[in-house]
Amino acid sequence: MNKRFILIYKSCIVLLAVIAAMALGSVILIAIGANVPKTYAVIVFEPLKNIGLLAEVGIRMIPLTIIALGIAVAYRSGIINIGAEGQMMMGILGAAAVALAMPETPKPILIPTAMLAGFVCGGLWGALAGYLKAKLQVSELLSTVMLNYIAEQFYTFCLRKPMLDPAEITMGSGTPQTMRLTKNIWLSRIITGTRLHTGLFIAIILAVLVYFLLWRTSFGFKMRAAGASARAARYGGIAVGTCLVAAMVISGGLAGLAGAIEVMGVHHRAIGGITSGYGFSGIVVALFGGLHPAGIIPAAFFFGLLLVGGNMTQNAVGVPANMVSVLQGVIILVIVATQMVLSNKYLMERVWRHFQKEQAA
Amino acid sequence: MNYLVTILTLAIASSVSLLLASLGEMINQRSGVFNLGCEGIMAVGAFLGMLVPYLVGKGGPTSGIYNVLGLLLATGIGALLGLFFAIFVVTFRAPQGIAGIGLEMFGLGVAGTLFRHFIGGTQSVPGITTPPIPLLSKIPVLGPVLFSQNILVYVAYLCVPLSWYLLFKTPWGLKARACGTTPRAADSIGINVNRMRYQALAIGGAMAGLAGAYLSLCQAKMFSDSLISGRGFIAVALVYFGHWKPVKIMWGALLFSLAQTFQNVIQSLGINFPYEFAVMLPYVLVILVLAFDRESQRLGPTALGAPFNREIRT
Amino acid sequence: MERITSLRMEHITKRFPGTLASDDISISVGEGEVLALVGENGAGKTTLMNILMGLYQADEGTIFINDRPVHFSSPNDAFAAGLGMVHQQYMLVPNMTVTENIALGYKQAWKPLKLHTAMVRRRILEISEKYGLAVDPDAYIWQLSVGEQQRVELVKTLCLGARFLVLDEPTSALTPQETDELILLLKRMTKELSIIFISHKLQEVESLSDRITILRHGRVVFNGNTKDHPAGEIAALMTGHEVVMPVNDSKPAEGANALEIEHLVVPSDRGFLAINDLDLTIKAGEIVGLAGVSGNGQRELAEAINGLRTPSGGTIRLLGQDITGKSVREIISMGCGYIPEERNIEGIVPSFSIQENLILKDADKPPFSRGIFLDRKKIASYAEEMRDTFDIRCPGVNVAAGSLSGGNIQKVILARELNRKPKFLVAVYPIRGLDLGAAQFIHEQLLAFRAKGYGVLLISEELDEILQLSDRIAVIFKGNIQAVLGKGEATKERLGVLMAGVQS
Repeated sequence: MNKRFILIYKSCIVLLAVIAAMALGSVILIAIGANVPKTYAVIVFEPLKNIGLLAEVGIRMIPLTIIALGIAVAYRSGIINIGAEGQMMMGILGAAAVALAMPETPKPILIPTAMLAGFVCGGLWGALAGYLKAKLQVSELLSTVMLNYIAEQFYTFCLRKPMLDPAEITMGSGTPQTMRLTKNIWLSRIITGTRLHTGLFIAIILAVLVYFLLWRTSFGFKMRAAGASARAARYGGIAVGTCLVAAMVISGGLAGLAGAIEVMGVHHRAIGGITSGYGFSGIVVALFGGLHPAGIIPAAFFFGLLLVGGNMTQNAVGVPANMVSVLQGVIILVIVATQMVLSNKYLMERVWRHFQKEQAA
Repeated sequence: MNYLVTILTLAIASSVSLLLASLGEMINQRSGVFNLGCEGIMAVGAFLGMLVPYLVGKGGPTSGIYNVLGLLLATGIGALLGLFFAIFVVTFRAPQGIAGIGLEMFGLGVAGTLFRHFIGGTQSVPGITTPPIPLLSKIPVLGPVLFSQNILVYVAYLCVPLSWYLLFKTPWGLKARACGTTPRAADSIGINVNRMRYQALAIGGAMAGLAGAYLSLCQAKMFSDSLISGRGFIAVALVYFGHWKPVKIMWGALLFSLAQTFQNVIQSLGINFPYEFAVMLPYVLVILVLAFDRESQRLGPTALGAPFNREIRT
Repeated sequence: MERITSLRMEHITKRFPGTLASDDISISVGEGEVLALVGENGAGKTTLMNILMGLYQADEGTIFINDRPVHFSSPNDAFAAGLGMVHQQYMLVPNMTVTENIALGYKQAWKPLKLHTAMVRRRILEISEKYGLAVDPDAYIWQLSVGEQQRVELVKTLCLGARFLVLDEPTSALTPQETDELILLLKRMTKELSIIFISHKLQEVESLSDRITILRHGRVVFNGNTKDHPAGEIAALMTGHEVVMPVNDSKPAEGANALEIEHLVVPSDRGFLAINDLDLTIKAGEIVGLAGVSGNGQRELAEAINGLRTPSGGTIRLLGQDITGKSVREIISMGCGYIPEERNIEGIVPSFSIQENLILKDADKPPFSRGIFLDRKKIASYAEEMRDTFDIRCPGVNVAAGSLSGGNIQKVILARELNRKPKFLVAVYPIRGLDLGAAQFIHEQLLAFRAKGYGVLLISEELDEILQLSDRIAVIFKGNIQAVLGKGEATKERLGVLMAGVQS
């Protein structure tokens, strides 16, 4: 087999995968009688049309990148973290609590403290699932999902009772939310007139850090070994359980940090709906980015585009925003299947021999 | 006493969706496939179940036929979604856990998209109501609890012995179980492992679809994005809780719906207790059961989650 | 049912990624004949038989039964034609009964809504009486010994109507005595059946077969009548070249105790005691071979020594220090090397590169890391060095270790283990499935390690390997040491009796 054949073969598979994913999405679009090409065009191109919308894409990139980095760390260590949604909520609570507790603290101290609080809260929530898997062999797929529902309830409880905006009590409108957080915790804007904030730089720095952690340190080596083959890692003297818990602390911590940054950069108060499915979209971004920081950043941009574009289809072509969830689900399914096809050497050799015969004939 | 009767009646009624989905998932897992996308299939089933009586029956006092059509549609599309999942995890041998998440997002997305397009806002349907069984329902306590339930309750509980018979007394069940524990042995004796798994996923999907339709047509009598709210995941966990055995799964479904009903009662009684913690109860219960039931880690089908590939030896 | 008077496979070619498993092979078997299919591991014997049974599809070539071409697209087609195969790894469902296992393939008993178990049971009893194969139809497979499971496999193929048997290394897990019984049974059966049997043991081939076909590297290298050719000639044809396996012929160094095991008790995965009150001592400078039928506690013993399984009683001392219950990492750092049983899933991380696998146990120590960071240059140069010293044949040290052949994977493991300068080595089935060249290399390395004055525990089911290398031989049976024999007193026969659990 020559290199050119391998390249063409792999490109063809990826192309087929893209077509399959779009076709599956189209089935649903046709079912609701929408204009298929136009819908896809709106989703992908409409947000690129002006700087304001592009900034919105950037805003969504920030939590997507950070969460996907965490999911990649966990995935590479052999644990599928579906609990980012809950971990993010815990991070929001942590950051908001810090801001509410010490509103007078100067910015250079308050911002790192709040971020740390977000990381710690999310990390502890993640550690719970890691510990359950490492020590009690509880499948993380189920435990993290359950922890999401529990976190959601805890989040509402905190916003409804201990952290409720005093104004809500006096006004009595009853929206569960905290008061507007001190300006000392706000992240500054990058482009005036838009909401795009400095969290973007933090996300990029984190991507570099995660790369170094996983591929350049001996601890990252151990985590990857534990993820690639837990049994061989154990035989090699690697404490697989510790790696799992550590990976979940980092993964949950990053999700928590994403929550903290979201509060500090965009919403400026803890309120329901901040997470808005980022925890699940993060899974798609991580997979789409090949579980590597260098792939995750562009993948986050693409899915940021999808989220912004998806919000515009209702007005433009009458397609509900839920369509984005359909596409995300399809993309996960197609990616995991495509990976299996790409790694199937048997199939590749068969195609190669077939191809050679054709050439000979 | 009255409360007790109410709680039990409601618990049995609300156990149906868990029970149906969980029995379906049990059949999937017995054949070796872990279907985490159950939640997504239930969502589609729930939407389709109410769509027919709402759209065709114009939301009016629907005659039974539209309800039955709704149930059939939900069951059929559920089976198709099971087969759809099988393409990825059986034919392409994709890792089942992550693919299941994909199916879940796909299902929730499809249900949400179609719901907004065809129905729009909160709309209720009369749903399915069946008269109490004459005479028997007059027995104190037992009457209301056992004999005045919806007809689908009896159908679901009938599925307990039926699924047991299917798995343990028919050739199909024997073959499916062999595929779930020792697929290589099944393959060497001429059983088409992948075909068995396709069939199992179709059955499991159909049951999940029906479970969803029960929620929208009989329990809530409406559809919303949060109608399923993790019931699909709890159904998956119940399979572990029930050690892959129909009767134990039935007790599990009852226990969990009791916990859920209990939480509703606390809220309705206005007891001064943050309701969020009551809502958490079933989810916490799932984690505790998975963590401390050591048996369930030993009894599962040994090939669960492993795609079958004849060419690769282990 | 039509008799099978002749079976031919002609010009069979089958490719697997990177290898030609079967290269234009032709074989033929007549009625009532026994064909021995002989060859080293990896010569393509099993692949060829899997093609015959419809499990694999040949890329080229045809199968003829009674001179008519047939095409088997699944094992069902092969069964229908009257073929049956007993695989080397038994194809039985452990948590089902004998009856259920056979019902899986016995279509006559499949009623649409009910499984006719009584019918299956009748059939089993009929067959077991006819051929003198005693089986209990209600026993669960996991309750049966290896020999009994093999009987179930034979009954299964016969129940499904086999008139032509394929046996893949039927004696590999049996004691020498059980082997003799099986050969007698098969001889009786040849009155009604034709048999192809795969083996690499010359004795069996001589005593059972009418004809021999020898495969090497996927090709037929010899075809002839058994009685026309002396054993020596066949042995030379099997390997293709004269390989002299190294033999341990030096006197054991009378060193201190390297490993002392006293009253060891280790639970198995299923909860029963896999190792029960086991005592064993290994001195520095000697190789102790542990002989036994697999499944008698070998895996659990090796794992307990290496800290992978916690003993529930007894003590293990390595070089005088108590290591019972210590972690894997501590035991590794005390100088215990380990060549595990499953090299592909325990010995290496398949998706990791060769260089990453070489540093698996030492990634966080100098020279491979500085502070928390890996030193990638040192790792690469070290890997190149190991590649040359241990003759690891690979396109580069960056390729995934899982893509290498078994022999090269074993060399990667050996390089990693020996270069860490261990003071004791546990080697489990170190040459299983390897070609003779690689096996020879690995045996030389083990002997060299011993010559440096270190102790080795060699676990194997190949008596030849154990007899060639060991200074002393311990026989394990049901988690207990039956006896420890010196090099001079151990013979295959004596070991066989002990392996079967008979106390001498």
